[in-house]
Amino acid sequence: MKSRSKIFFFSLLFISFLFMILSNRFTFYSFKNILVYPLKPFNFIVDYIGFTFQDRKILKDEMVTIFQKNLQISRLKYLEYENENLKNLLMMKERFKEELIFSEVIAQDKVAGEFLTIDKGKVDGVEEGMPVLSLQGIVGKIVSADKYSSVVETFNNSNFRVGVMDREKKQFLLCYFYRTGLLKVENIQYDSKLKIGDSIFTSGFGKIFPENIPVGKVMKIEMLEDGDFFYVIKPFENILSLKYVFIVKMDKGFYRNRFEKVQKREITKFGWYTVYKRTFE
Amino acid sequence: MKYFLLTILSLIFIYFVSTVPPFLSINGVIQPDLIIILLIFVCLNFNEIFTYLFSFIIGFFCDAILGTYLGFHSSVFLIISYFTSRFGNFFYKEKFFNRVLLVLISDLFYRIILLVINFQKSKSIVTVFVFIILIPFYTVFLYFLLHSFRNLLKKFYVTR
Repeated sequence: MKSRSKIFFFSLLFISFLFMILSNRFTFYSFKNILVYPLKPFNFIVDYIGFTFQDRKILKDEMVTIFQKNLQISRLKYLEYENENLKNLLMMKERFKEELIFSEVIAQDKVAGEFLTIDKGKVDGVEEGMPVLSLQGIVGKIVSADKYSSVVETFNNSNFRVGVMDREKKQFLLCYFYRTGLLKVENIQYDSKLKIGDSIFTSGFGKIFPENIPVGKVMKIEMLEDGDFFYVIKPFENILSLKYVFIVKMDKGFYRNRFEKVQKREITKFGWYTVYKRTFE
Repeated sequence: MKYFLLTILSLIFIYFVSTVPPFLSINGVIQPDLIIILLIFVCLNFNEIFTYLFSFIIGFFCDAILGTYLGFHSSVFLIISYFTSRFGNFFYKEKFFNRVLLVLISDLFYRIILLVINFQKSKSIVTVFVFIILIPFYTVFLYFLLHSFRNLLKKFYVTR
């Protein structure tokens, strides 16, 4: 009898050890679930015995406090994010020689992100055609300036185009709107060596955006049927989550004046007749 | 039938004990090992083979409920039940002090093994103190209370 019980004990112990050793290799989830399954109906009873009404009240209070703390934490995080953004904006002032007008986005077209409304207008010195940038890069340009607010046409607008170049300033290209959130660079030279992931910058030739402003990076190279190809550019800035922008007040000489007035510079006078030379300002 | 019923009731008891954390615990930290008390009770009152089988099944359920390695509790309970059965045969097991000693040693053994397994989690000396000293003694105290309660019930039943 004794030896039988001993054998029984050792065999059970062996099985237990075997399970323990195999637990490292197999997790036995299904087996564990089968073991626990018959006890599941008791969950309901346990809930009622374990959590009295007082416990529920305490839990409820704890939940409220945790919720409030979470709210506070998220508010602090937002403030931290905002603070960092504003600090970076202030640092931008040192990067640009030109005067910057900092502004907050007060409304935007949430579907396509074609237009933004900012809280600075003519009173603050904003004029139509001024470039609008953000911390990440290019945003768009002012298309209409009111007294206290202005409308920005972003790169998501189909009219958007900007002169761009690569980092080494070897290739000068033109960047257009492609799809919402994407730009494209067409008419590329056959020996263009831009790769996926390469960043492109404004060239400053369009006389709207200043030079060397980051635009985006090459996301894809699309091949056309005729063997031509174009780059799909992913802009650095996401218009739909934009909060702060700044406008660069370029020097007057930077803008191309389409209606340049012909100035007459006097060269010589022959009696009543004067010789003028036509120059452009 | 008796054995089957005992096993089922024990399983339900284990489920309650392991899923309701503040069950007879002090501040939710010092949780008594009521399963050990149950195991000792079974070891001292039933035959050896059933005791082994019982501890094996109970251990498996403990592993499944508590999420430890499958086979850990069953092996520990098997060892405890084996030594308890041996001890019960050598000593006078009806003596209360012997039973208390059995509970204390078994619980100490169980707790030490748990401490070794969870060595990385138990970093502070306070945890070790709670594991090795407070919980076994609290379990013994509860065993003492249960025993007294049982005696009281017996008395009440007899006098009536």
